[in-house]
Amino acid sequence: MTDAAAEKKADLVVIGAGLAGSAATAFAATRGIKTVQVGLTLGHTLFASGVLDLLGIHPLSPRNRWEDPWAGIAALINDQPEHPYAKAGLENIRKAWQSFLEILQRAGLRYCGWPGRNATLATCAGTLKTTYRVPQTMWPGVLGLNEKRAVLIIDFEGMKEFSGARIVETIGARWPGLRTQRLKFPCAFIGADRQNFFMAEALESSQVRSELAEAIAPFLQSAELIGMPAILGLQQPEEVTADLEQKLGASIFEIPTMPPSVPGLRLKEAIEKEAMRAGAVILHGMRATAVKSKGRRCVGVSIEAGQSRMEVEAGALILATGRFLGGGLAASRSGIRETLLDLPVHQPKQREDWHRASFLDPDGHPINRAGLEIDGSFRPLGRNGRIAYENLYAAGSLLAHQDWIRMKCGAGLAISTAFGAVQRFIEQR
Amino acid sequence: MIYQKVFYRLRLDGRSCARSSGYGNLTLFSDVRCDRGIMLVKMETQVLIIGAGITGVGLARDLALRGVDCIVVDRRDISAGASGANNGLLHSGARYVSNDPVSARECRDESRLLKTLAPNCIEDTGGLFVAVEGDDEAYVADFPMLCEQIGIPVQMLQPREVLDLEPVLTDKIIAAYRVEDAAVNPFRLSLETLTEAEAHGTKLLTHTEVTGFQRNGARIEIVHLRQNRSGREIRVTAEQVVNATGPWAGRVAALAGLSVPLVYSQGSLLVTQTRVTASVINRLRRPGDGDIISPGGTVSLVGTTSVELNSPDRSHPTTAEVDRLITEASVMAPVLADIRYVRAFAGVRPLIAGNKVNDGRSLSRGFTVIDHQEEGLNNFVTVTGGKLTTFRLMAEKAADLVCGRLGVNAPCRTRTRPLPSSEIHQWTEPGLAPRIWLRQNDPKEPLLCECEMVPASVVDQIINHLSVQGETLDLNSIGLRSRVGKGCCQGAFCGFRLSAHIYDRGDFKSDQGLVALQQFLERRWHGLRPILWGPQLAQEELQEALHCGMFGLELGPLP
Repeated sequence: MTDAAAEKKADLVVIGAGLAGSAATAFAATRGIKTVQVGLTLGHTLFASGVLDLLGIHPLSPRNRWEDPWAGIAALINDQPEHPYAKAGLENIRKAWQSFLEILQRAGLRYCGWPGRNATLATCAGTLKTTYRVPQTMWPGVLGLNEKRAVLIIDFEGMKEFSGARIVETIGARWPGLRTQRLKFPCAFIGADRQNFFMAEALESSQVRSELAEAIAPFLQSAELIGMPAILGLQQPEEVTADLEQKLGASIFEIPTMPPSVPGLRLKEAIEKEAMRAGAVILHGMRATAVKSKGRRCVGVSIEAGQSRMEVEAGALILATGRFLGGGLAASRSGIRETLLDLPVHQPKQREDWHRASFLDPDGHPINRAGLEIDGSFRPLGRNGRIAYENLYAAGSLLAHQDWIRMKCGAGLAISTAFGAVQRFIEQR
Repeated sequence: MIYQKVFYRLRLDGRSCARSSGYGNLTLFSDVRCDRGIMLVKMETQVLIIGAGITGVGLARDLALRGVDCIVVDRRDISAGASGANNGLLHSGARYVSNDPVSARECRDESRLLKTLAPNCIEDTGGLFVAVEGDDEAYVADFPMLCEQIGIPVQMLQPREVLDLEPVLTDKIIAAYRVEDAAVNPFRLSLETLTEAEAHGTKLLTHTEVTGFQRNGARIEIVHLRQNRSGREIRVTAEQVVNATGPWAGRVAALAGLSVPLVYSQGSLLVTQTRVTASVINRLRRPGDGDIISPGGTVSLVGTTSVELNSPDRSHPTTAEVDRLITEASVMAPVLADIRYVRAFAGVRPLIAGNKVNDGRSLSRGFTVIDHQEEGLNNFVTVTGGKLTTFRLMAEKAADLVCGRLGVNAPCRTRTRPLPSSEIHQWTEPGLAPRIWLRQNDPKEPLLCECEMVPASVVDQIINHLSVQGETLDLNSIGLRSRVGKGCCQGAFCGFRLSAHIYDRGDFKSDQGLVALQQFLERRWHGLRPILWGPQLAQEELQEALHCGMFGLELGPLP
């Protein structure tokens, strides 16, 4: 079969290029399913910090933080049977998580963490973030915070959102060994701003790394560790880091930045690499504009990019189109709708109830729990309360009854619902 | 002259010991409990003005130019109330010809004066009154005659001419008149007015609240103040006290045992992402909801509503008001039904409950200066009501009364004296920072606010100005004095960068910058919440994913 033909017929078409869509594509392809992924954007994974949250907080009010996310998930499943985690089930969430980390490992991207326990790391906001797994490049920072090691934080002129001084001032009381030094990035760009991706790419040159090491060395003094913005190479962060460490004689760790996120890009590329190695076809920059159905089954997807249009024949569909930012949901003054199939959206009764009076309200905003209702097989429900189509599944933040932002379960939700949807598709095929 | 004396009071083992520097009457403080080491400051002035809205700072300037010493205090910051939450409209008076001829005349005269005296704060856009199919034809027919009676120039236009001038307007226009309305930048007007007052000796204390009045017979002897951030107590001895607190005038007067009956009328407005009309557009009908579209530099403001509130503190735009504004205003300009809005805001009109009827719109927009003589006080004045357009006249009338009581004979100078313009305040003007930034073409100059293109050097100028003035440094204070936070991101990115920048300068310590960021985001939120649909909701989702999902700003202090 030619490549062009391979793009036009698939057992499974995944719509969406975020973490859920990419994970679903990889899960399906590695299980031998002929999969096509369609995604309009680069995926909002790029906006993520690159760390993988599983569960941090449940319930939101009164706020309860979980040290062991698995125990938290068990409690959540018990308390909220509507939550997508409950639809997935604890055992499948464990399996999903395990498979996902294996996929990343095969792609050469290592993640670290404590067994069965959340880790804490410093962010560029000067806050401490709790998460379950961090890229290996961030792990020495987690250990350094834990052990209160002496750290030199390097930041750069023109990186407006990353201030070493902010981190030192806000976290300094808990981590007294922090110092910071601002440097000029050893590579000229146009303009005053220093963009994450350009800097990360520049650091793949060993000459730029040597110049950077020379610039850092005089300030190292008694520091055992060096913290840097997460820009240590686009593709080979571990090599870039090892080379800098060898030149400086100190461990180096990355600190998550504001988007665009270099660790987010690495994560996305690692998943895609494995998915494509397993035979998945990934159509970047393509927007799904319509779904064709016959009776109670979906049979194909119309996609387009600019002027070009094509049809993909589909044995089944997974909808992982995200929320408002991703484009899976759209809101007008009169309500929220699902954009591709006009599926019914569970939502607050009126717009007045979408958001609370305080942005930072600990309870979270009711609109965050809006989304698609699904059956036990991750199939969206239609207006009559029965499944909309026999072979249409949904995964990720598009699902109702969850607030991944406040519960700190975004990656876990994407991965486990993607896994669940693929699993059910295989069972029901 | 302002005298400052400092009293230290330390509490040791439950016994209090006071030490004074030998000034004043110690018994004054006998009932004051304060924490260890907190300073008590005593000040004297001729006139204490409560409220740093446009009325308060306008009065301070008027008095200062007559050689009178003033202290202006505000519970929050300058322009924190209605002075910073209005449609920025310099009324020609035409809007009031049918139901409020006194206000119409005042607006006519004052708008002409301000155009001459404060041109840097005004964009002389001109205005239109348009009636559309279905509007009250009797009102339309009377309008030019009523304007003529009051001496407000109007020029009739053909509907086709109107569409040439303002192509976004509906083709269902049945009548149109050109008037002398203009757009005014209320933030800059307040800042320039205050700056000239300060140049003539006025002192401003922000985030300082009146906690009580100490009365002796027919006089307020001492005004008790508390600085809300430091907890510091201040006692001011003033010859005259002026209550210029707008909708809070009743509450402040009550502290002095007086009654000022007000009706709180909330007016909400919408801010569009881009400017839709060149001039001010009024609906030619009896004043109602959603009948004004006014230019605000690079954006347009769509207003207003009139909703009666029980308390001036509870003002926030509601989704119902937003829907009503869009429905009504899009009758004049259909584009407003689908345009992107970046913000809503609400101000509270302090209307005098004279001939109170149930509709806030039928109360006069005129102002009142109350001397409180009949209630037995002879050094306390309340000035409230009124409009942005007539603020100078209100200040003049109040200053005349105060000067009469002080025995000051100097005449009012604000009627003829141009308002000086200072460079530091130009950053409130929409679209200015990008023009200057592009002209300078300095590649080394980073933009902290990318939506409104505010470079770091502008923020530095404002921070230095705040620190010279002894003002509290937080993100809201910078937002008030520039365009930071007013673009599409509504603070999500610029707030984050601003906080980083201030840490880099060494001006934020510990978690001050995090707290300031939280406060800044909450302030922007009030205006975002009712307009969250379409692309602005997607923007909000990104902001929440970053600020809460990634950074956990909702989790409060570090765990």
